[in-house]
Amino acid sequence: MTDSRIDLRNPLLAALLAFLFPGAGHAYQRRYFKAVIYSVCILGIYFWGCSLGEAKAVHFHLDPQKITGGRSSGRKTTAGFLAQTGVGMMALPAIVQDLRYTEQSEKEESDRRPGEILEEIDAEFTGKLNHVTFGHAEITGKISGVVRVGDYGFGTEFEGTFNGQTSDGNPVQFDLLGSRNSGSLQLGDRVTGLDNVTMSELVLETQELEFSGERRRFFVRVIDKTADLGMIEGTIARPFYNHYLAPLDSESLQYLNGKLGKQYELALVYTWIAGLLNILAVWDAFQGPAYGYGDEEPEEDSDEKSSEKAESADAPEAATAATAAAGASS
Amino acid sequence: MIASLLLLAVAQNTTWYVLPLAGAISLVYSASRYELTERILKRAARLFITITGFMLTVFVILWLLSANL
Repeated sequence: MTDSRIDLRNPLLAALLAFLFPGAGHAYQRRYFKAVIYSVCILGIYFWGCSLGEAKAVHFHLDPQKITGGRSSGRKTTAGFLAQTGVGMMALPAIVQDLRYTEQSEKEESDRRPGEILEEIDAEFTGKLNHVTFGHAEITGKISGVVRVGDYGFGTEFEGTFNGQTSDGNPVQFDLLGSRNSGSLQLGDRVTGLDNVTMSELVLETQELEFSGERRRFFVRVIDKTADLGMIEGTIARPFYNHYLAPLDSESLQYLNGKLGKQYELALVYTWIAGLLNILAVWDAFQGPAYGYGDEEPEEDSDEKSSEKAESADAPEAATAATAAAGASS
Repeated sequence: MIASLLLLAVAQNTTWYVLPLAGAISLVYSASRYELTERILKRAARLFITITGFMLTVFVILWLLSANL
């Protein structure tokens, strides 16, 4: 039973607030010391975990078998996310990101709506050029165009332009056209937590895997009317809301585990524990402290209890001994 | 002996991570049990010592058992 000295105000609202933001429910109940303990400890552990996992420790996909290629790690990810949701508002956006990710995949897989614009791209590009005239060069500039889904070889097509300059300052302008199915377009997912942005051997001497959440892979064919002039390979920016807490595919998870090793495991454990600890805080906001106010008769420890029992058991013997000693002295 | 000390030094990097975690768990658990500030802090300190003491004991036992391996 809740102690009458604790004003829980509206317990349901407090519990909801405590769930959404650790400590908020207790602040609403004016239990400020607890609010500080819960928010600092729970959020501290949670964000530390996020930082150890390079912000990729929290992710969710409703159909993990699909995303991990049927491996059992998918189930582990889902169960782990269930623990992480305890932190409320910090982890819940992962569900929205999963919906966006799924919608994007389903849309791209659909070939029933030829010509449908999947997205318009207008982003800064940085990368390399493999061109018949300009040769190999570092280029930066602006990519603009549209991605369509349709029967362009039964796949996705990009049509657009590039305006920019080479690393030595020469202005360049190209028309771009590529189809995913013919291999002349490689475009990273719009919504994803992490993505392979490794460039091909054509433009790189050393092949080293590179993954990024902030950048999006963009390889496309450079054309002049219909003549093929080469490729540009690089990345365009992926906005924060398109990679934060977004699902990770099995390749990205493998990369993360390889890169971070034990640190990634620690990151997961920290975020799980933070979520689970907040369950205690939510219950405290709803029902009050489990053992009472704290100024009741102090509970004796089991060892103290046992020593007390021993003392009380010894007491008659001691009294008998004292009587005997008194008798002997008299 | 030197090899095991070296191993210990390497292991230390991640072993230390348990201390703030144990501290946070102790504080949150105790805060969910009582309302009085003093009581919460006292119980949290005791729980923290219990957790770290237990882990230290297990660590020492495992270290001794593996000393001659």
